[in-house]
Amino acid sequence: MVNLVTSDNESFTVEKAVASRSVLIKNMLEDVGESDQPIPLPNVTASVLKKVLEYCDHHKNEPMPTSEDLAAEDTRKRTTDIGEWDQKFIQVDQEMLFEIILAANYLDIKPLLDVGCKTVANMIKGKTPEEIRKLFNIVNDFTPEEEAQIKKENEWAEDR
Amino acid sequence: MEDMALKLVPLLIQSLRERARESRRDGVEESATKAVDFVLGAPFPPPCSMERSVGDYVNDEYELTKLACHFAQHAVASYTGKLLSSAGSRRNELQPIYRLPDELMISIFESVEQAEDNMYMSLLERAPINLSHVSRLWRDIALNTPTLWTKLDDNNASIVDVFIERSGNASLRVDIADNNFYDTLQLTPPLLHHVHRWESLSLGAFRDRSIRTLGKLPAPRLKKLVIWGEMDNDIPEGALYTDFLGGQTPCLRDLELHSVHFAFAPSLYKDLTRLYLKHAGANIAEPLLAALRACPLLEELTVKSRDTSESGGMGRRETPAPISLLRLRSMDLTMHHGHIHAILLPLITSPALCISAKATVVHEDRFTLRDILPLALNAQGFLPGIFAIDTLLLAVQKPQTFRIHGINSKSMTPALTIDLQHPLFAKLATGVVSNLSRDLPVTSLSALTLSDLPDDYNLVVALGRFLMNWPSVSSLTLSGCRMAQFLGLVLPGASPSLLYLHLNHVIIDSATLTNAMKDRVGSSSEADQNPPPEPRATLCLKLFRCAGADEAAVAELRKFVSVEWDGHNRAGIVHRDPQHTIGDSQ
Repeated sequence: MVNLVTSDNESFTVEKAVASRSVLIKNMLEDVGESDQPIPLPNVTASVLKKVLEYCDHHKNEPMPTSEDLAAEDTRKRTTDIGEWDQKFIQVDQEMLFEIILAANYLDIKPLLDVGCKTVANMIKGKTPEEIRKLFNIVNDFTPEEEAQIKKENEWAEDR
Repeated sequence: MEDMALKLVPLLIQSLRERARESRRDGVEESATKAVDFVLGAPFPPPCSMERSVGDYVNDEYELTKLACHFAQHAVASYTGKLLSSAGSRRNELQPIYRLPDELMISIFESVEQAEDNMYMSLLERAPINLSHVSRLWRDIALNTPTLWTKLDDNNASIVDVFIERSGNASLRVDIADNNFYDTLQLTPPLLHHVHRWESLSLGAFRDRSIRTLGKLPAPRLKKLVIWGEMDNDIPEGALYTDFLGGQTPCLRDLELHSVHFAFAPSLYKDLTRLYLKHAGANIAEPLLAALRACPLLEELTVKSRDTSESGGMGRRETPAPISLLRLRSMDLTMHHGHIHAILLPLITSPALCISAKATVVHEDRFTLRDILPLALNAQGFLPGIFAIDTLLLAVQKPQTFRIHGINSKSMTPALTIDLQHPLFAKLATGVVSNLSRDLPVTSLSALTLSDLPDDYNLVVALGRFLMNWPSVSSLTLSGCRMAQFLGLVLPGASPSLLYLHLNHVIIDSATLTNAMKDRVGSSSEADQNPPPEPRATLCLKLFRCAGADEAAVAELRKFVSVEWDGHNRAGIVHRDPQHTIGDSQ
């Protein structure tokens, strides 16, 4: 078993197979060898780690992506398809969604990072800039000069 | 004057903001709608001297005021615009999505841009254009990521110059499906000027003039080439000439041809890892084998042909020389029997490793496994990968697919997958099973799964013979079959080494099954004695979602064999089994 300590000082004791879905933790375990020392995760809060561990537990028996898989992914056409379980898992509010993505990035859990990024991509797909702003509570912060340039670009797209 | 305006306007705005803050604190609602009465008085005092006329003086004053207002307006507009922009940016920074680092935003943007339906969106809703119009940060990321601007197609052909400029030196993905392909290229010369940057090219409505346009232009970065012939004319006159794309496509790895006459062009096939051919003309076998000899790195081959000529263009007399495709892992052939045989025969050569083959035979009503996978005909021996198989799944997926799937359970790797598609699956399954022990000499086979096999007496006989010839099989799984079909397989002597019998979704007759088990343990006489004999460890029966299973039947079976039961039957009735529970995953 592995003991993980979050930024808000909560401890999680999990199976090694679950924790090792994170390449960061896996490497740490390999570096320190067998040890009872807790592993501090200063960039992850308890609520987010709980969600991340739920994902790792569900996928613990799947083969880890190899470097060849990752290289092949770059050359393949990307899809935004997400598995059924992963879709349900990632149905969280935006605050949690982006925290999960950041945690997956920090902990180096590529499949979870993919699920998070694909979810955001699916939210954006086919929307106008105004719809995207509304979705993510962003305001138009272009300067008048940039606004003029964008207006010109819109005219290109409409005219031609 | 401009400097002064620029200094004053911020003070003005600052004062107004202070005032607005005070008003809000005092509960006074500021409104810009109330009538404002400016008393300007006489704006321009009359001149003291009479050197200039009053008219000239007033005119000068008007011009100066106009200029001052112009600068003031400009400065105010600029200042307020920047102020709002800066305040907006600070506000945006607090939104959750702004916490993602740029590299993750780039990855998200690339996913949006590469989504299949993106190219069909209107230009203003299409990534990356819509992304670059959201906010300053998003625009900055989009404009500084050249790979987002590399997809050029019919739908953005009108602003292809913008895409090419923003794509920097990144490789381009060109997809021209329109019938006006030739015209599109003529209208967008930048596309042709950058042919050296093309990474993938998909051409619709391929014609001779397409060849003329692209014929001499080298495409040194091209990795994928997809060509579609015209829909109304399956095989156009055009062919892949040897100098297509200047004969210089050193990076080409993936070639797809649809309804295009197939011709051998060594420069195209040299380093391919994937070859996909659909309706590539008559008598394809010979040119295809010639092409396959030219691409030793091939990993995936798909051929879908309607050509019904008996031999597929191969002379009947000669046996083609073996072609060594050591990396070939997947074959999907939909062809006439003669073609499949002609193509497979030289390809399946030692030391080929694991291969996944899917063969669909058209216009043919009989063949055996030996016909499509001629292992035994290979003088060099068998596929080494076959010896790694210890678990074999035979399944008929209605209406017409017969699947053979071999797994090495230690490494959990598939060692062989063959999907045979044929309308007469019953005959086929029987034929294949009859010859299985001859065609697949797997000595290490320990587990066998039979799924949804047809109700055919000959098949049962074939399977019985198969199990007799394969004494290493210790685990047999029957799934979705009628019990009567396979009862003979578990009788004494039929499968002496069987240790596990898994019945999944099988309708069982408990009395018949009990009698079979009783006979199998060879204790019919002992069973009548009192007390009943201990369950033998030699056979473990696992029942999963079996109709006809109930507590009484299971109790009776346990007198003779060890039984694991999930407590369910297929009718949906759940019984409690205190001794064993089988997980749903089984």
